[in-house]
Amino acid sequence: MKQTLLEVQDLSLRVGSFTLQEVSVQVHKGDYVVVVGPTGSGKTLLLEAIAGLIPLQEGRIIYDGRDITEESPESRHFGFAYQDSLLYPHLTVRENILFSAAVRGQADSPLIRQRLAELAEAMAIQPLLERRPGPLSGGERQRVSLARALLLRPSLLLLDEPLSALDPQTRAGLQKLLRKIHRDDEVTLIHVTHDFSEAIHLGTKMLLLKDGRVLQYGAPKELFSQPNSEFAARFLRVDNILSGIVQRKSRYSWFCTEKSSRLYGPLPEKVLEDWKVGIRGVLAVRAAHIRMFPEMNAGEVREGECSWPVMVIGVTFHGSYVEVACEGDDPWVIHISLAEWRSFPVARGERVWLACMLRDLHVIPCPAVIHDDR
Amino acid sequence: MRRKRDLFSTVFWMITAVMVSFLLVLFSGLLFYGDAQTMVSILKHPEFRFALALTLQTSIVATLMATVVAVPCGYLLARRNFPGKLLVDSLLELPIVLPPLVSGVALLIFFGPLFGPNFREAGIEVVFTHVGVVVAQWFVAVPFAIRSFRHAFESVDPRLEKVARTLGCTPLQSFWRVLLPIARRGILGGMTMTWARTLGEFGATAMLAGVTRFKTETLPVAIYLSMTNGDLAFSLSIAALLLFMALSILTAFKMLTQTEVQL
Repeated sequence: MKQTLLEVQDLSLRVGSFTLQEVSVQVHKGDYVVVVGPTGSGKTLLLEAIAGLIPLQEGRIIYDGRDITEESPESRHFGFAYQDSLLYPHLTVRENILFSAAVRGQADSPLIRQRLAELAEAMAIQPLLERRPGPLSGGERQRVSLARALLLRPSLLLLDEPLSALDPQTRAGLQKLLRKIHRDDEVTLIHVTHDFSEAIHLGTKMLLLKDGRVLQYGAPKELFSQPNSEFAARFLRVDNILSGIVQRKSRYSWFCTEKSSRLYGPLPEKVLEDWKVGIRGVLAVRAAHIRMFPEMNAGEVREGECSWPVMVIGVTFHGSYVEVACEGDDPWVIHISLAEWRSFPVARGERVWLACMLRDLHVIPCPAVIHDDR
Repeated sequence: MRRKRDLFSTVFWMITAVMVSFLLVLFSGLLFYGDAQTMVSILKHPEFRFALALTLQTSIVATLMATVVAVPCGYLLARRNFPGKLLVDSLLELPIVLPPLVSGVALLIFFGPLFGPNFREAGIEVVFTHVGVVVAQWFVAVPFAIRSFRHAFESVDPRLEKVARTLGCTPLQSFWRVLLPIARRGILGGMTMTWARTLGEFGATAMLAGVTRFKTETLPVAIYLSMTNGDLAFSLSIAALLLFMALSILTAFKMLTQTEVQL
């Protein structure tokens, strides 16, 4: 079992209009936690609270089994890097990286010099060491900022949207670097981001915040395939969200949509464990989880799938995939690969069938009236 | 084809040009009205030399004292929120809007009947002394220093200090190693302008330290004394020197720091 490194217990605080309320999170050694949430949800505030930069109003922070709630930021020894790198303009790149060692009077020690050389090589910043940070590019600045945070080998690295201001190519390079740091340096990371592909690519855990509260915490795949609220589903960009109700029919549970009364299912048995029949909710299905096939093959439904007919009402190319908008009893959006598209290029007005694995029919409950016709 | 200038720009340019011309004529008049030879001979005059030496000594001490007070005040106003901040801010800036004579009277009461005996017991004589000159210059200039230092601190991203804390700095170390060096241009600019303010201080100095020849005679006091005696040549020489000093300070500051002074 993985060892717990950081435990945030019922953390509450308020700074201006930003709040965190009863936030509890457990981070294990070696985790890469990505924190996502809308603007103003308290992501940066959470990082700053963990770093000790903001005093808590309530709650505790346990680090490596020790209560560090009252400890000052300088005694926590966490690495921290902000979005805009925040290098010190009056120091050279070398002095910036050595800053934490200089504060402790160790900047000239052989171990630190060796560490600087290692970092400079890993971050590919050797030619920049004697320069001032002013004229550096965004990617270079961010690499220097990471090197500065990593100099004294912190076991926890806190990153506040470090890649968001960079161009896609530089961002991809730094994502690779972060994965390498996570893997090779055995650093536990908490990384605030608003980029979902970055979150999926880097994170081993994902924390979704809304209005200063934890909405969901788990593996990124779990959050993406099984969001626990309609907000989470919408925020995590689930394309098909239909309101309706779960009904019991022929010993199975089905999702009956509000708009069409069509039944989708039978729903996986797990749904029944999670919530009761008759409660209103939404059916959330990712566009990529739906396949499309010609009307003439309507009988070829695979095992464990449910299928339904629709008409194509729009086709949009997105470079790496094609988005097909359909209208049947309910509106549907699906994403298909270019290869699939080439073998089955549909046009507006064409009738097709859609199919989805039953396990991908994700139902999210919301409180309502009981309805059961058993 | 040249574009026709619009009325808005024309009016604004004209007003600016008139103002610049007015200042040029005004200051040229000060420089060239007097006889150059007399001006040079006055520079060797013992009274002028006394006034210049006293002004330089007192203004430098007053500027340093103002810096010591203005750094913490400016920092707290820039970085911290506390109950009554608006009131504290207004109080600290009050001497800017107060006529210097009123400040002088207030200082005279404070260092005279109110706490004068206590200071005297401690061996400090303020009223009608050099110390009084320094105190008056310091009092009038310190709000300018606070205001400019506050702007200097505010212009530095507070997250730079936060990063310093995570890198092992105590609050004092992050102030000393990060905030102060980054804000140094603004601080130096503020000190320069504070010094300029102390050089020209007259009203409060006259009230607290008096206008005594060869005792509390700073350059502005010397102008006042010579004007009351009808010695226009002496006044003009000092005025020209003060004008030259002010111009030099402002130009040197702008050239060295390449930044605007925030007051």
